[in-house]
Amino acid sequence: MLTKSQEFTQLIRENKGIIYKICNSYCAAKDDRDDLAQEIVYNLWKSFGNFNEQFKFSTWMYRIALNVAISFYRGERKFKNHNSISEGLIVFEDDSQAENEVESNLQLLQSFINELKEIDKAIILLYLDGKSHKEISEITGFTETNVGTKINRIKDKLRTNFSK
Amino acid sequence: MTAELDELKTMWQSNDEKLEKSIKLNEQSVELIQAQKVTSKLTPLYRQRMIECIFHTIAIVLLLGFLFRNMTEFPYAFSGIVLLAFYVTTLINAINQIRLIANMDFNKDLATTQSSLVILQTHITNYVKLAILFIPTFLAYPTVITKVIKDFDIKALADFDIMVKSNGNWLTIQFWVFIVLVPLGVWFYNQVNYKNMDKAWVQNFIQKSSGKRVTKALRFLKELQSLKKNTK
Repeated sequence: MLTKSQEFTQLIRENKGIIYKICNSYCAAKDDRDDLAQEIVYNLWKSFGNFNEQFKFSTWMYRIALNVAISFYRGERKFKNHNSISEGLIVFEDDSQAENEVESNLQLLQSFINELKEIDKAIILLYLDGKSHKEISEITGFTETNVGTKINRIKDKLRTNFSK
Repeated sequence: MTAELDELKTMWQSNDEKLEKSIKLNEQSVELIQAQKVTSKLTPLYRQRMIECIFHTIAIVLLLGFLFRNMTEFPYAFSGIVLLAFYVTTLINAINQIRLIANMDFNKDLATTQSSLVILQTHITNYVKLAILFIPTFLAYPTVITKVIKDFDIKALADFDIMVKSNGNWLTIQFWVFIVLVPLGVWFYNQVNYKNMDKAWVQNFIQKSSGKRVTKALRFLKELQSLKKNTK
């Protein structure tokens, strides 16, 4: 039987990609990415007691992680109240290899995502991760219609950027 | 380079497997985070608002005492009530902020949480708006203060009562300023709002009184609210 703390670590291990992708999209500097990753895990742990197991962990995790990322991005980082941990929370085991393997289209896509506004970033990250309009609506608080409209606008923007 | 977003979506998801292999979670850091004392990052804001509440409550109690002593004398009662209205409004404002902080929850959807955070961040604008709305009431301060000095027989100033010294003209001035400025203040209070961020003068006023950060935050709130509004 896992303790609450072990269960949390296991869930974070299974979903570490979500934290990585959010940090990569909301922060340009490595130090900021490390700080944001810690801030996300800190807030997830703080709210873990409220997690309702009837819902998907990834949906709950996205809600908190995106809320933290947007606040961080908007300059709320001055409220950071826990001690910073010197080591990175999520590390590349082999950075150079990963760099070479990443498709150039994906790199380009990531750079376009980085240029989007905070809400658009959240919506496109959820879309690319295969979340349905209904799930995106639950995470963002916008209706499915609005989510659909936003996705189409972002698609148009990305299409224009890719065709340049 | 051309690629449809749907193709990119497939590529993005297939890249997830590669990503899973190439990134590693530093579990020791997770344990360190779990060992940290859980506190709310909004605690300093909460304390600030509590101090504001205490300050406003003291002012309200003192003004109620003043009103109790001077209820039968219209000029003083009028001035006291006007100031009381100001402090009650600012107290309600601070209580609303405390309620917002207490209900702050990153478990809620992005639109709800981010809107609450922006409202907290733009608190300063509310004070500026209230200060302007209540400009006419500031004329009531000399009336109340000089009467208190007289009532409590504070030696050097005991003889000075602005209402008596001005033969009641101070009340007339106060009344007309009130009549002219209150409707203007109410109009201004309603105009300076995130909904009117498209109006250049509103944007300029907020930027000059509260700074660029608040202006950006209110623009963000407008965007969030417009997305939410269409949905419900």
